[in-house]
Amino acid sequence: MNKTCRKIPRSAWIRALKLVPVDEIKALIDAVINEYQVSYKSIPQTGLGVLQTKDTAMHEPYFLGEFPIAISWVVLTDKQGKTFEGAAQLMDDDQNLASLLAVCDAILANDLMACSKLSDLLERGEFKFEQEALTRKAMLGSTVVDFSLLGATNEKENKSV
Amino acid sequence: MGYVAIKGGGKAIAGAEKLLEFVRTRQGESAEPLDLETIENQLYFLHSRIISEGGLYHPKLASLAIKQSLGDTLEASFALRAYRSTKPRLVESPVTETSNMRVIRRISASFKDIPGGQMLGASTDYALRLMRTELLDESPEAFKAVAANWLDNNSHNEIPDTFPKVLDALREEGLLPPVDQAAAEKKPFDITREPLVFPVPRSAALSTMARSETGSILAIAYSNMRGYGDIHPTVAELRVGYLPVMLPHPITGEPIEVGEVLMTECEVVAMYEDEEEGGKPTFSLGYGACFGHNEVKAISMSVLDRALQSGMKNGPTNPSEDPEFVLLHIDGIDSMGFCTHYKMPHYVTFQSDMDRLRTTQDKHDDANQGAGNV
Repeated sequence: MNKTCRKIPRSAWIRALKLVPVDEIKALIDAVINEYQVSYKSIPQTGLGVLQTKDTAMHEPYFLGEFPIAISWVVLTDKQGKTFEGAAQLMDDDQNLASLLAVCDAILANDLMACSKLSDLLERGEFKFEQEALTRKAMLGSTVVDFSLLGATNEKENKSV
Repeated sequence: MGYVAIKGGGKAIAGAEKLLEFVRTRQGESAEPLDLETIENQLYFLHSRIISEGGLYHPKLASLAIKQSLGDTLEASFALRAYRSTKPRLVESPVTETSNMRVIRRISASFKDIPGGQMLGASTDYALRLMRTELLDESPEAFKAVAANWLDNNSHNEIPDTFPKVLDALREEGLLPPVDQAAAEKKPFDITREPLVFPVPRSAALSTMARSETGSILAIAYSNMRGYGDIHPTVAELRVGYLPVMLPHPITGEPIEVGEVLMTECEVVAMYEDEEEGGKPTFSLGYGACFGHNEVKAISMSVLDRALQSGMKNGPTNPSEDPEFVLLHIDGIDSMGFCTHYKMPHYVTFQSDMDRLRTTQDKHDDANQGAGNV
């Protein structure tokens, strides 16, 4: 296996690639896709998913609401007739984007051509995700409540002269 | 009630549509059309309302709905709900634990010190509610500088990714009822697939309240808070954050993050109850959650969840404990639709009403005349 691939776990590939400009992914895939014949394992679809969560008081499952979902499952066949599968599901209603990311999934999962370049894009996307995570942590860190009992601080500072 | 088909209004309706578009754009050349990201960010709370009341977590279309409805929350939610009704259901997520939420706000009214600490996040709670006149003429440069300066001056790497739940600590102490394993494994009721035929399970109530209209759910919860109820809730924890949505990979089955949803979640601890079968008394609980950042809705939902549990168990003693009353009157699209239908032509039914009234008046006059002749 090419060690430059898969630095990021598969569970995070979609979230990372969604943070990379689509044109850059498309350009990369366009450059290598002629080496394969692309077919669909199932017809790409867009529709809805329903989010099932659990209430944290009584721990009973319920449906919080729905979200858009685009699904694609592709098969790449190389010139020797060897096949490689990839699939993508993402919260979006663009099935072309889902198919593009399904091709990325096949390349990354099977260490195909352009895997290392795609891995670089993955890392860029994941870096963006981490930056956003840091921003969210800053939202919390800058508003931490520091309770102290009345009288424990120097109240003279607040008294009017 | 009778309806008849009429014709002749087509031109006027087309004219009304065009006029509405004129009203939207009448600022003319000096104005820029609202872009969808601006709506999502600068009308953050409005956007949150539409996402939750529409019942569909689609930030882009929620912005579009706000734009095309000129900010009418009910119309915007309606558009989002209508869109969802045109799409097929493809997947159902596995049960997603909200404890994995990427939190941006977390407070408790029960304890000042909670595991992980309280963080106010972005909040209007402490605003003076005075007009910020400096925003009257805000320059683009000043606007951009605020966010840049904030990011430059704030970084906190030491904050953990997730936080424990306050209720878990209370449950470990034996102050809360134990988890009902049978209920925890039940398949939830899907309000988008089945009609609400009462009695309905609690999962139906939670789903219905999660996409209810904020003002409606607040009004009924407020009736309970003010006196038509006996709940006396304390907010154990209120959190806002981004919940990662995980779906199994179609090939491997391993959980894949397909996106995230902004949500608000609230648990209230309410008056304790004696255990029926001689067990220890424990606090009762209420739960509220919705898409987006909408704390009033989540708190109202948690109060009503507790009220409805009481009504389902012992029979309702006030409207807020009656599942049929609450759940059939909090959906904004339902209630707005019924309300606005009164604007539609009722010429035949009203003509009939007038005929009946005239006949009754004639009889009344005849009777009075007859009495006068005696």
